[in-house]
Amino acid sequence: MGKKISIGTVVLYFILTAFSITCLYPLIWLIINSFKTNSELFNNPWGITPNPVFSNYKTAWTAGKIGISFFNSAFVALSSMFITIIIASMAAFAITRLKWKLSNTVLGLFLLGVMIPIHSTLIPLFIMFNKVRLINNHLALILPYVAFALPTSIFILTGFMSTIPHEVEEAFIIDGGNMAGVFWKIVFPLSKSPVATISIYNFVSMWNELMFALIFMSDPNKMTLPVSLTRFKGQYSTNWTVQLAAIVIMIIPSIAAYLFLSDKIIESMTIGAVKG
Amino acid sequence: MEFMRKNKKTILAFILPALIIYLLIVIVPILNTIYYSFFRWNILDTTRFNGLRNYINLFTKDAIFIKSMKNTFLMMFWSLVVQTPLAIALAIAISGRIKGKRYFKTVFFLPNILSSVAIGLLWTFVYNPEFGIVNRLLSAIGLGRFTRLWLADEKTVMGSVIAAICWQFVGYHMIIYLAAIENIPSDLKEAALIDGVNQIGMVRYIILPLIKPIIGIDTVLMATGSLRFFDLIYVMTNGGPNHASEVIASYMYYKSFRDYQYGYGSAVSVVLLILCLIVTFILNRMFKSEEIQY
Repeated sequence: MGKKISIGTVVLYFILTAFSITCLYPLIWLIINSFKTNSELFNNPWGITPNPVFSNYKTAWTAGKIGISFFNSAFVALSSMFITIIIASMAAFAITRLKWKLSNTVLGLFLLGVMIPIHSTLIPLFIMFNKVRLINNHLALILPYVAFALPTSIFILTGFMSTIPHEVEEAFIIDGGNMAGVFWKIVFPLSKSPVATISIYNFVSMWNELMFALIFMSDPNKMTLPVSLTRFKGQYSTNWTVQLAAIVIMIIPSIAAYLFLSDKIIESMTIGAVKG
Repeated sequence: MEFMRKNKKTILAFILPALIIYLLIVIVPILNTIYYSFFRWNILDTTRFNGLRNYINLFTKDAIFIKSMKNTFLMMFWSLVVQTPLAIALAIAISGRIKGKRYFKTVFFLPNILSSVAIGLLWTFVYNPEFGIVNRLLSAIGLGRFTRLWLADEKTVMGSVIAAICWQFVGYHMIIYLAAIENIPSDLKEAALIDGVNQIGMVRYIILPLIKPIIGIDTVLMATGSLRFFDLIYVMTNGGPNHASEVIASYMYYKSFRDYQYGYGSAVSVVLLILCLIVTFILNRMFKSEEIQY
């Protein structure tokens, strides 16, 4: 007896497939058309071109400074991510594993940050960074990225660290270790999973961040990718396919990482909401 | 052992790096913004204490600000109305042992890992009047008379942007609901099946009541996300045409960093901050229910 396929199942799959095409099609359209010339895009925006051109990518990468921005973005996002990992883990360690009266107050202060929109800090930070000459310095992005990554990161890390049993570190201390050793040799290595989570979560938002980058970086040689792309729109306003190539360059690393790590990425990016 | 945990130097060494950066970059600027918002402060002008003048002007004299508030709430409303049911429906559809679940889950979530700038630019192409997907598709199926300048028309610009927002975020909310649905103990579902509850009854009596707290959390996320919304607007329309798609965040940016009115811009961002706090508070109260006991 063959398995019965109900009408309900057919409808369900039809809707799900239609929806997945809606998600994918604009991206496929983007990639296909980034290999065309402008006139080809105009005459035939649907199909695959018989003679693909790669010059769009070359123009975007060098003349459009997308190449420089790519490395700026990588530098800013990676350094912010590493600094966040270290100082957020240290703070979570102090809050969950050390004994002091204000630990809960400090945790509360950090968690308050989840509700604060970055917009409400822009003007004072701009004035402050201007005064200490940090405008057009990558530190002007790294500092805010780290600061605004701390609340969620500390929230996730404290949740994990408070579950580690005390016996392990007691044994370590009896053998003559100190608290720094407890952190670096025991608690931090044990926290691999939440550290991976916050790394992914933070990296994605730091790589994509626009508002700080827009205001604190005006030198084209210092800009990160999102800002470069917005400038691109004006600069190459009629050179459509070069713009398309620039967008592809921006999203390809994200898509590549997603293909390999989709489950972990999905989990990392929604964990704050699910656990909150 | 105990004394090592209480050592002041150790505690400070561990907490201070994060605490100093956080206080300096988040907390102090917030207080500064509130302080600045009471000043008349233009870059060319002298700075002068202004009391509540900025706030009074915002709500009584500034038509563009009122417009941007309306647009922000419009965006919030449609995000909630379109995305919540769609996200729950999709989550229910792919929960359980359905073939291709991984594919659907991965594809629906995909737009969320991409930069909003890239997505905004991509959607300006989707709406491009000459070769964009929307107009070409309409012409192809004989609805050519509905083609228009989607992002340049004051009547269609908000709707067009909201469509792009929903496209980007619905998969995110679906994942949140999927996690909630899969957390429902399976013996509860089996018991319901034994009692003869059908698919619709299952959704109505088991799934929806049990994911209600998650609907609350997700609504807060969507609402505060809408209040802060900036990237897609900036990239797709820059608030235009003629401020028709201005939202609070884009207006704050415009006033502060295009007009250089730091005092006035600060007042806008304080309103934004207060709205975020109020919305979070109200929604939390609305959805507050007893802990679920399975």
